[in-house]
Amino acid sequence: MKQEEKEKREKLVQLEQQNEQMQQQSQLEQLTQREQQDQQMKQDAMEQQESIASSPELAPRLEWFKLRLERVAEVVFHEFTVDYGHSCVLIYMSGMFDIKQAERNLLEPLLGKVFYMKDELTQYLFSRNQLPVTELHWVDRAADALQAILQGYGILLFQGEPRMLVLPYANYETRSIVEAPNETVLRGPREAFIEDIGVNISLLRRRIKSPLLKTEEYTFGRHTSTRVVLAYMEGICKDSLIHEVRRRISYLDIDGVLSSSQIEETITDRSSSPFTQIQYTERPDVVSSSILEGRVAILVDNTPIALLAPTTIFSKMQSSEDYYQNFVAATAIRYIRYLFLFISFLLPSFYIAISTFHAEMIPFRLLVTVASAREVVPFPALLEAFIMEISFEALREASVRIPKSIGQTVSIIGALIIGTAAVQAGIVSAAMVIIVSVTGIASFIIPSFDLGLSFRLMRFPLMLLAGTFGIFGIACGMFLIYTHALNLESFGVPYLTPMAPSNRDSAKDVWMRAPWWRMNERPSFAAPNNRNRQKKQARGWKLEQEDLE
Amino acid sequence: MTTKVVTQKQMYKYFTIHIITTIIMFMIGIVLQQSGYSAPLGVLIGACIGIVITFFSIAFAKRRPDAFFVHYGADIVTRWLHYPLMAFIIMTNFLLVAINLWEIQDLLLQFYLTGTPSWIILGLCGLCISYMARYGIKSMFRAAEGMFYLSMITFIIIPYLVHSNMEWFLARGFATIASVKEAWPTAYHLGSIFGEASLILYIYPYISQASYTRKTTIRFTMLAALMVICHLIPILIVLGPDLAQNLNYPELDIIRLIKSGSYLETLDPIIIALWLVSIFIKLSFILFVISHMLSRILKLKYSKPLIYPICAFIIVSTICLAQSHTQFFSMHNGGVSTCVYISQLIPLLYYVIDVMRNRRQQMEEESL
Amino acid sequence: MRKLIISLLLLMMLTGCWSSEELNDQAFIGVLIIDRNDDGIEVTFGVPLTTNLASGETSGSASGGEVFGYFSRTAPTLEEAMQKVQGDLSRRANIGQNRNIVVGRRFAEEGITPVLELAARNPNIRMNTNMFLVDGYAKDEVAKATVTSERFFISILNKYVEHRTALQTTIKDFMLSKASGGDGLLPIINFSNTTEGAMVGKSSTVGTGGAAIIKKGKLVEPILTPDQTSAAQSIRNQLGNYFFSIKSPTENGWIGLYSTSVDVKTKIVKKEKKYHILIKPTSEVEAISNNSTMNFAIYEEVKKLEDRIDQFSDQLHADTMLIIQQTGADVFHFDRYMMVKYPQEWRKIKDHWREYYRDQLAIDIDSDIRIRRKGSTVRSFKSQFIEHNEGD
Repeated sequence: MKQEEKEKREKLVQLEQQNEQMQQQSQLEQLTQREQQDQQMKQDAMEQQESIASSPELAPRLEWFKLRLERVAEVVFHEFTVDYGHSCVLIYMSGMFDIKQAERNLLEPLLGKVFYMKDELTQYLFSRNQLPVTELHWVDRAADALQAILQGYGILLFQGEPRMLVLPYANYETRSIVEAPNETVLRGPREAFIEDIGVNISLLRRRIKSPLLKTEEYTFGRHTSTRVVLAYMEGICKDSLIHEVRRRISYLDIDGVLSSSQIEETITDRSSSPFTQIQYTERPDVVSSSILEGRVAILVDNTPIALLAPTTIFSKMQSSEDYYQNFVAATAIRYIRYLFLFISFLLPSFYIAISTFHAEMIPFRLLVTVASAREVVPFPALLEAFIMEISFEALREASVRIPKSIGQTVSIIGALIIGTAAVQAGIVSAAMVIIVSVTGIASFIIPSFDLGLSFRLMRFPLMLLAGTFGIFGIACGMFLIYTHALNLESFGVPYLTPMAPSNRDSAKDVWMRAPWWRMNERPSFAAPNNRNRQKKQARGWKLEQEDLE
Repeated sequence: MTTKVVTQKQMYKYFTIHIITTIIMFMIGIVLQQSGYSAPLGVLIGACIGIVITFFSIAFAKRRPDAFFVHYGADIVTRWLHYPLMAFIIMTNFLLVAINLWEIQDLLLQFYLTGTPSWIILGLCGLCISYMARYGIKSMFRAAEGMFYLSMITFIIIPYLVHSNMEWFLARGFATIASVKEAWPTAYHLGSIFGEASLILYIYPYISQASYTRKTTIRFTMLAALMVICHLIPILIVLGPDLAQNLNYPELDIIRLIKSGSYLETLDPIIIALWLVSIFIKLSFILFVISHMLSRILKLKYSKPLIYPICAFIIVSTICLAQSHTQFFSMHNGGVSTCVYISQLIPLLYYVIDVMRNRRQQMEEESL
Repeated sequence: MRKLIISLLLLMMLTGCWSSEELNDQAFIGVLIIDRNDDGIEVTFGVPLTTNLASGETSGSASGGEVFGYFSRTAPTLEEAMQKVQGDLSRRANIGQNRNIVVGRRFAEEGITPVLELAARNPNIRMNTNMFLVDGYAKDEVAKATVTSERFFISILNKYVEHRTALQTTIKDFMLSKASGGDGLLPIINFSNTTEGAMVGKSSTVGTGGAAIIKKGKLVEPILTPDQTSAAQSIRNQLGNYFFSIKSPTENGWIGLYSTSVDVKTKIVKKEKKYHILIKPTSEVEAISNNSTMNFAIYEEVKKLEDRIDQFSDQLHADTMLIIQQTGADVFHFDRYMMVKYPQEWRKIKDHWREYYRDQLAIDIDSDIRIRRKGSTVRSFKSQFIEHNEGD
């Protein structure tokens, strides 16, 4: 009996538990169901109201707009009546619309006139276009009108007219054009892009005053509706390249595009590679010269960074400063840059390899000095190098975020005190401090920050390889990196042009900065029938002079 | 799939590196032991042999410029003969890669990395080689293009740096002592290496501007022969023939004799590192050809997946190849060169049969 | 790509770092000293003691303690002795930095062939390691010497070779030819005591002396004097700066001369069925002191002086060559000249080359030395200021 009771009790308990679970589940289900039903109802209502909103009646449309823009504080619905008896509504966002202009150019004339018939008003506004407003256009879908309001335009609704006027007085605060903070030059223009895409395009247009500069506009981002502009020179840029860029961009379907890096990561050839295949810049003169070489520039609204495609590793190693200085000096500086490129990722590995595997490479006196300096250090060379490198990376990362007021002090602390103190305490040797600082400086010589970053990161696996296999390890590591870079392509252009698929003309701009009067042809990725930049005798006046003499 | 991606310039640069790297580091010791002062003559004769072999291959490839030899060979001779011959060629190339890898690992272990087990070095080498081979035919030739000038400068600068050690009167010996009889063993060995350019046959459909292939062959063979002689002559002049014959790696020894400024004295690790990159390019090309042939024989669509397994197989066979230097030499002298010659001359057999068949067909058509 | 990363990572896991060695776990041999005593061969490693230098300063033997240590052991063979010395060292001896081998007299008399073989076969020892001889017991002399002008003893040796103060003989020089293999000249390092040498008053200091003739790996008498060593250097085309004095043609004083480099051309010719080695030193010298009344403006006197210099040079070279030739050691490897120019005759002679060299090879010396500059003054001090006054 007791057992039976126990069993019954257990069963009851189980049933209760199950019931609870079912209740919970059903509650959840019910909740979700209810939410879904609500949403469905809302959508239905919206769709219904869409069709309402496309009607010529004013009131339902106004209701629709008010429903959609409920709890949006900045929206203003300005209802007024034009004589005789035509109700109108002006809808705009108060921070983004230039109401003064609208008052002067729209409200004043409209309210000053008398329209006896609705047709007169319609003619005045639409067919004869007699409002003192240029760039006026109209929409008849309510969704488009809503989008226009959100972009800062004003919408004018009329009773009995399904078309809605869009007033182009979008005016919001933007940053002023300042000097480029990350790409400074000594001699050359100092302007940099700002966030507003209209201003950015105007910066480009000021430099390339040609009708062949095409700017195609796209909108991406379901919620951000960000404007993205493709800029290129028709005829100079290869058609296949433009098609390819358009094709890749068309796959972007994301809820928000907030910066150009999202676009970059979508359209880049190989996103897993440490080398980025798209160049970015914040200077309009770099963008203009790239466009003139046959590249495509991608400008994104709300980002001051423009993307350039295709790119090679050598164009990332060039700074715009090179082209503004004398070509002899620029060539020398370019070679220093190439040298420091190698130093930035090979020097610590080289030191580790030589000091642990190939000590016979060091001249004897230097060897004795280095060895005696390292006597007190307890760590093996590889570990010492890792400690110093990681501390340097930490220092660099921290210095990005330090407030400017104490930035100087902290960098002095980091460099002098920590470095000196570490050497004196015997944790690292002086040679290692020198090597790490030279490497750090070298990595900042590279004009393109992302390229410097990727080389900096490749240092660490190379150090491991060097510590295990010596120079043979470095050779293998370099081989792997070389193979990888060799087979990268950026929109069909091999990454190591003109070194790997060799190309005489582009070589002129890579191995030396040829003077402008020698650069007669555009690089190889420009359209093949439009290669000539200039005539061959840019310095023809000199020949004339010599003829005369 | 068969787009013409390899240009003549790339071929020129690649094959120069292909031929030079093996000869300069590994073969010079043997060459000097066998021929002494006649070595440069032997190099020239070997280069001529190599050109002749390559010309045969190119002439045969020209008959069907857009198809792969592995496929149409089965039509020329019957399948029963073709596949075993292809297998023989594949095995010979395996052997070449294995021998080269063994010599690399021997060099590195002996001089620089004593104590490291050989399998880890071979593993790293194999990783590098297969990584490059997986990227396809383009990558090897592009890599050679990029490395070409650097490699040439490295090779040329060595004789220049030792010029202060040279005793020029010894150069007279090249005129007075050299003889063809002494040069012949060298010519035989080196001919098989110069003849490795006949691998062009297997990648012929990838080559663009194929009509210039012959000219390119002459140019790169001559350049390679010139570079080898530019190394042989300084070695003989600096070390003298008796000493040079006695050394296993005379190249390394003369690099160590560089005296220009006491801070450049032990450059040999750096030169070895640069040379290693070049020989990896060469080995990855041979690996690519092997996997290409094998994938076509097995009727696979892509050759990429085969590369890692083939590389692993080669590495294991390299480890088991020879336990010591003595074993290696007895194997090497026991006819590896002959084996390579046979594999390079097999296409000649096909050529002859093909010509005969065509003639017979023409005669039949005429009689009809 | 992913597989590549994984396989790389796997490889990293296996890092046992098999052959990497820290700098401070190695003892870099600066000089190898080999000598023979009654118990066998004694090998000494000269090693810089980096712990004593470890204060980070670059001054010499400052903070107490020696900067260079000598560790030595004796054993019947060279390799066993090296093993024993390694047993004394707390770090692994690395011979890759070694550029100098010093041998003692007794070892040289019994044959330096073991050292030559070790250096040639061992991949870590370079072929251009310099060799020196100490006329005595090498280890004692070297270890006792105080090193004053340089930081380390080996820096002195390296600089002797670099500035051509001493004759340079490397391991390679003994192996240049089969018929004369093992023949060479070893420069001698002197350790002079307190009355002569660099720093008078201290214990023995380092200097260069003559050279020793090695035939077939063994030392043979006589030992060349420093002058004769300079002649040998010049035949080897290694002579750098050289001061010498010639008696003036006016017979009343000596003229001091200085040559910066001597360019010596050697070749072999056949004259009347006999083979002559022609050695032609040419040089341009400067007059640096004139203790006679000779006037450099007079062409005939200068010509006479030049003839005298030529005679002096010829005589010195000929004397040296005679001494060397009579020992039968072909230290300059003249057989190579014959081998390349007259290969057929060479094949007949090469088995008994040394006898041929000693008895039948004629060595002719033809110097051509010109006086290039006569210094800053026009007439000698003697003739301008002293002889002038004696007329009164």
